[in-house]
Amino acid sequence: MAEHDIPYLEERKLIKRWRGPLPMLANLALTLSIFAVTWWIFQDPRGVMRFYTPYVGYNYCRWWLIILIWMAYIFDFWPFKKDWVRHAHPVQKGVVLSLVSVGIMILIIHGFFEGVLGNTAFAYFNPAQLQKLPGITEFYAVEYAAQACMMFAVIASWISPAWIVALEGRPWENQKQPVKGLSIWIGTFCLSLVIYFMTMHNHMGILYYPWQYFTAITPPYWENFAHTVSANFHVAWIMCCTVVVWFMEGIWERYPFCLIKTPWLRRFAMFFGIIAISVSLCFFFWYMQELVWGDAIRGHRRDAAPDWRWLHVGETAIFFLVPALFLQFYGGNWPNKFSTQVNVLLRTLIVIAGGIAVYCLYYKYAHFLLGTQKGFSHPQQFPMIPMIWLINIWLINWWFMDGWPGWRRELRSAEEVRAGERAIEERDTWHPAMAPGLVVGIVVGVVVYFAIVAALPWFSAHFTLVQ
Amino acid sequence: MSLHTLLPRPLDPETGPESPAILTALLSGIHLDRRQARALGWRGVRPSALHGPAWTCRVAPLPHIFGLVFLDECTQEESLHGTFAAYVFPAAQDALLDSFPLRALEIALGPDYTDAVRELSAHAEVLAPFCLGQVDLAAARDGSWLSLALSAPARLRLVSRGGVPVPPGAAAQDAPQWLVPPGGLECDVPAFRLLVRLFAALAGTAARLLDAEPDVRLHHTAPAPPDEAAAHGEDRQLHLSASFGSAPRAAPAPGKRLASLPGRYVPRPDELSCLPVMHVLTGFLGSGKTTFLRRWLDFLNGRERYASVIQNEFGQVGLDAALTRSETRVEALDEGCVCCTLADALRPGLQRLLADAPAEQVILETTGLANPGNVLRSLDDLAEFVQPGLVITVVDSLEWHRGGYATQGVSGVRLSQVQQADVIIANKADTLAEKDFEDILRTLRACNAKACILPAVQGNIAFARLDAFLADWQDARTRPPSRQPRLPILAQARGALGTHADEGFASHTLPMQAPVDESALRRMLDAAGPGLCRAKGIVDLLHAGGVVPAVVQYAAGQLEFEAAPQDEDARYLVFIGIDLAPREVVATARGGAVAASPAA
Amino acid sequence: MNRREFVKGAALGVGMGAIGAMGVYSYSPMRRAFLKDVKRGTADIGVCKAVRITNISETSWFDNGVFMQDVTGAGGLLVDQYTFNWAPFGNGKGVGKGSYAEGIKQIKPLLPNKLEEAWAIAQEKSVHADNAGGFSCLVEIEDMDGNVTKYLFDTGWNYVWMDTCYKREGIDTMLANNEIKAMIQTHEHMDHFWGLPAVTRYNPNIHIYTPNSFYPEGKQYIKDCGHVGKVTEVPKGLHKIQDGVALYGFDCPIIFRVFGEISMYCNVKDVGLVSITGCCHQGIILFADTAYKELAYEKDQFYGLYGGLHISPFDDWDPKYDDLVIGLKKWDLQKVGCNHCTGLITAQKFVDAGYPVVKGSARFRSKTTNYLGNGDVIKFPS
Repeated sequence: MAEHDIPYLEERKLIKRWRGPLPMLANLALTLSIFAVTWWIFQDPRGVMRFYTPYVGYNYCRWWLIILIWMAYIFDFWPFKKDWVRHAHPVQKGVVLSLVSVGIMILIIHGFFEGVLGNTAFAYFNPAQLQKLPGITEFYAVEYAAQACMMFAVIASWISPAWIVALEGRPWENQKQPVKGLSIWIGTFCLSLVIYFMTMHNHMGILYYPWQYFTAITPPYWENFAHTVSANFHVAWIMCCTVVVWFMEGIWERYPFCLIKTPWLRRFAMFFGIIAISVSLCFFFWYMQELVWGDAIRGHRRDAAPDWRWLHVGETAIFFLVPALFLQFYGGNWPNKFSTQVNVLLRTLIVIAGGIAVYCLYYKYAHFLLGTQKGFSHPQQFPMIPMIWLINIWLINWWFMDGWPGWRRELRSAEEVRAGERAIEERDTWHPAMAPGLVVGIVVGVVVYFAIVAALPWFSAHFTLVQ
Repeated sequence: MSLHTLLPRPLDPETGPESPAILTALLSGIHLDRRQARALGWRGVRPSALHGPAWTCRVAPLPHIFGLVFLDECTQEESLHGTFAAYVFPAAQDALLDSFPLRALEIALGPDYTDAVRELSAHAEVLAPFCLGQVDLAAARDGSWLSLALSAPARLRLVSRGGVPVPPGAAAQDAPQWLVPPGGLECDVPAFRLLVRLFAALAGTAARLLDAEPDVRLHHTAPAPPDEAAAHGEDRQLHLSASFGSAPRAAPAPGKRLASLPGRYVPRPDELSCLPVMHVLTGFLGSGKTTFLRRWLDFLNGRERYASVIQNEFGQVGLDAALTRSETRVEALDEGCVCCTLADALRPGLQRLLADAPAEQVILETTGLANPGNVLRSLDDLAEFVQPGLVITVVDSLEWHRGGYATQGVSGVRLSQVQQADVIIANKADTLAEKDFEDILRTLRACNAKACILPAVQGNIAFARLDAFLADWQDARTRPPSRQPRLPILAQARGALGTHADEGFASHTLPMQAPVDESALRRMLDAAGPGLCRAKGIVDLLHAGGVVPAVVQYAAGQLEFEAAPQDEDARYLVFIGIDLAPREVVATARGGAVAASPAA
Repeated sequence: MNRREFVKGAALGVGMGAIGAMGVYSYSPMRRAFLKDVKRGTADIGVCKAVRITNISETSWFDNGVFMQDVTGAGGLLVDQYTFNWAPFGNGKGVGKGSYAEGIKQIKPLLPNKLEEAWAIAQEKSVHADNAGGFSCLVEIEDMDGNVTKYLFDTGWNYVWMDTCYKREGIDTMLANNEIKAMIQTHEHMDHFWGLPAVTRYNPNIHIYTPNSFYPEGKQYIKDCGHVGKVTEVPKGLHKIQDGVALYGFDCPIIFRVFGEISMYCNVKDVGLVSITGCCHQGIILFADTAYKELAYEKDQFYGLYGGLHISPFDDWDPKYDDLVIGLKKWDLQKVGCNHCTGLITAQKFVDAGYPVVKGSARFRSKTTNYLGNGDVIKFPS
């Protein structure tokens, strides 16, 4: 394999500039201050541009995420020259690449979805078209259009990284850029579009009586299963997919699917395994809410409404992505000293604890710090927005700025990369002696699950995490 | 305006939601003055809190039950925002129910519908098909403003794509195959038009209690983002808001400003009038009028609905007044009957009573012999003091059974009392076998088809039904049965003009200074002759070796005793009936008292 | 067995097992096993062993007719109680023309020690002073160790009457000896509150609980009665005061311009919940519903009830249910001691309907044996 075929993100090696926790703290301080400033400028309802309406801001932040993923993961920074990417100063790279990503984002949202699709295909992408319908005000028109557009990004931010992580970029992984990037991009875009039609289009269609009967399958097929006609049901499991893809790539080091040595089988197992794990998490987060807040009530509004409950499943998932990414990037995927399986388990526990902490902190202080609403289920309460906004900034810092200022980047040679791959290959093998442990572990896992389920109502009765 | 007039403490949403507290303050506050509450259209409220705060209520002029269930509250720096789900529950037989979702119809026709509605808090989930909209309550934390808003679709429509077929077996050959044809409307409820009544009563209540005019605004939007109630393609959403006080931070609600609250209940002139309502209580001798009255007064007093009583006894001594007085203002009109000899005496008595204590209701208890028709005629002259209320007749079921009125028919005063009544209390229901009692009820129904007939034991009924019965007639803008014009039957008219002496009724009062025992009393009652209808009074009763003051009640062959009021010193017995033999009674009394007294 | 490989397998298995269980069980119909069907309250206030209540006085006023005359004469039920010119705040200007400031001026120097003199002035300046009685009772809680804590529940109205009643039941000595831990002022109504000097005369240091919605006059009166102890304002909701005993603050507007009432819930070990009310202006329906919703209590049994019982501040929309007897039916009470504002006939109805009403002795001006009358005692459990 020629040297230039190794993606930049795999080719680089990030080394701490200083010993101890200093680099981590430095980057945390930098990213949080950028977060604070940009949040105030763009999102905060008390700030300058106030995109947090909430859907307009959500749309931007979600699309920005997916474009960052495209640029770094799929296109490997094409059309920027590898040489520039390797040698430009991290700050320069960060600014230039971020501005380009924002430009692309505006082009896609306002050019493609609103301009092209909104004027030629689907009225719901374009606020101006929506307002031609009787009885819809400008505010709601803008919100609905943003929501429709955002839902596409939700799907794409699962499918795009999953293609790389699970399907390992097949079948185009040996192509050069831009062929590889464009192929995967078009492939994932088409797949996302299909999934969009099957999961989100019905949701948008149902808004427009009576035209829905001519344009969408309504009431949608999931109605009786999810107890709602809202596509928030899909948002729930797809958000979990997004989160699980990152878990898989980061803190889980592709376990346990990397144990499968047949390439095609591994790829499919991982792609659908991610979905299976996500759906499991999705159901569990739903069940947690039932255990803590009681049954969801169809026809209810706010926090007992099934549609909000599903949305909150997605929100809960996002709260766990934040510590997971932090641990992967700035925590060096700690701990590393045990066997991979044990490392993975410990990391998972750390992420669970971190996620709960972020969850509590968010609902306790967000309305004060971020200018969002107080309470869980306010229609204007969207914890996904600040969480993804922060994740965007971390991705820029880690991918575009090579971890500056706390980290310094070095390049690995092709041999080093291959040697690393071989080591991982060797490490990740199934050993029959693991079988009894596996069986015992599964039993313990099931017991732990039921212990949590049994303890949750008691916990919620005796401790109030969030007022 | 300030919310402190409503809730005299700082709002503290940190200790729990405050919007249910504000709603409670509104609903309870207005009901402290019942008349005011009724003039705003309230026709009963029931709180339900088994799970979360919830209320069910009725608002005139609609017959349906409304429900409000507290959902959630969120707070901002300076304000709090609560949401309540708004329900409408039509009666199971109401035609409106046909426009509700089929699921709602199914629930309404089930056996537990009313019970579930009454405990709305616990059944909010099951009753979700009746949820038609949402009421929002927002308030400044410093109490400087309050805002109420109703959001509901103009029409809640659900289209059934596949249609709903008539269940197999239920359909006749030529009957339509579909309950709802494919693509037809499964439900089509005028949600906003129904809920606006509830909202207007709420907002009107706030306006009254806060003494502030609301800023009323109406706007509409496309349906909300799809959640359940909004789904399936309903009409546009209407948003009606009423804001009180100045709200600098909260932007004014969008929409067109309205001059007044739509859907507000327009009170009738009699509801605005401050005159007390006068009820007439009749019933033949010994039927249990005074017992019934005492229970009624206890009910009213317990609700701080003070009533005054005018009692008129056919007899020289006012026992009934003595029995009732400690609880209530009583004006006694003794000697003779108000319907003939004392028609003019009523006016000064009433004036005196109302000047003394302006009550909400005045109850005129007539003698057991009074013909209510005559009383009603004289009441027309009192329109400047009182509003007409109900004519309530207490019937002694036992006496009716013994007299064979169910089979042979009834006549005279007994008949006219029943015919003229709005409410008939079929008292002493426990003294008869079920079948016999049903005969009595059937006879009563035959005499008076429009009256409300309530079975009672010891004069106990659900007294709230009296108000509800009157209110239902008034809400329907018609007169209650006793006030409806009717052609006087000649014989009756003539009878009514006469005095009771013409019919042979007379009363005799016998002083009872010496103690007597029960058997002596029975002998005296026997001695009075077969024409005795009623005897009552206070005696010193020899009982279990001691002497206790006791009230004697005798009617329809039944002799009963009860404890005498403490401050009554007079001891006497009054006999009422036809062709009485007072001398024999006196003679028996002397002999009996002597014979029975162990001291002698 | 290879320990290292076993641990690897186990670590992998825990995750797979947990996630697998999440997927299979969390959204299956079986999950209902862990979901409660009824969202019951679970606030645990602990338990106590027994509750004993001594009725000191339940006769708020002696002649309802006279009282009603005052009410209607002053302008009705919405009139501020301090303006009625009721004793002891009379100013001599007649019914409905009084004020707290003018009334208290006359008697303040005499409080709390010269109550007889103060009441004599009040009799002269007020309307129908002799009609005033008062509501007050002594609640004794025996904890699980057998120690008894005493609480005074309301302080009545008429200074002289209340003083006589307190002496009759020995409350004066208990107060003076600091045997009574606290006084619970359920609400601001005159017949429950204005007799306060009869308490502060014996113990000005007593700890007083009031609703947090007293009007300024009420707060001032506590001070004017010479009270120097602690005052706790109970907010809406549950407020535990010792093991097995909690106060509950209800928000409700009440006639004569009063707001809020506190009631007491006692959880008696192996017996059930015993509830004590002053007047229950929030309505017995809300009172019982709230206990059901908020509290976890022994045997899930709503065992006993003592005090005045208002059914509801509203008319019911279904008139046939507007009846205390029906309203309480579903709670299956085991022991009821009712009096005060319950209504004589309602008490009779309870008896007729076979309710477990504890009869009284109708002494000291109590009107019926169906009331747990003045000087009578009720114990839970018996």
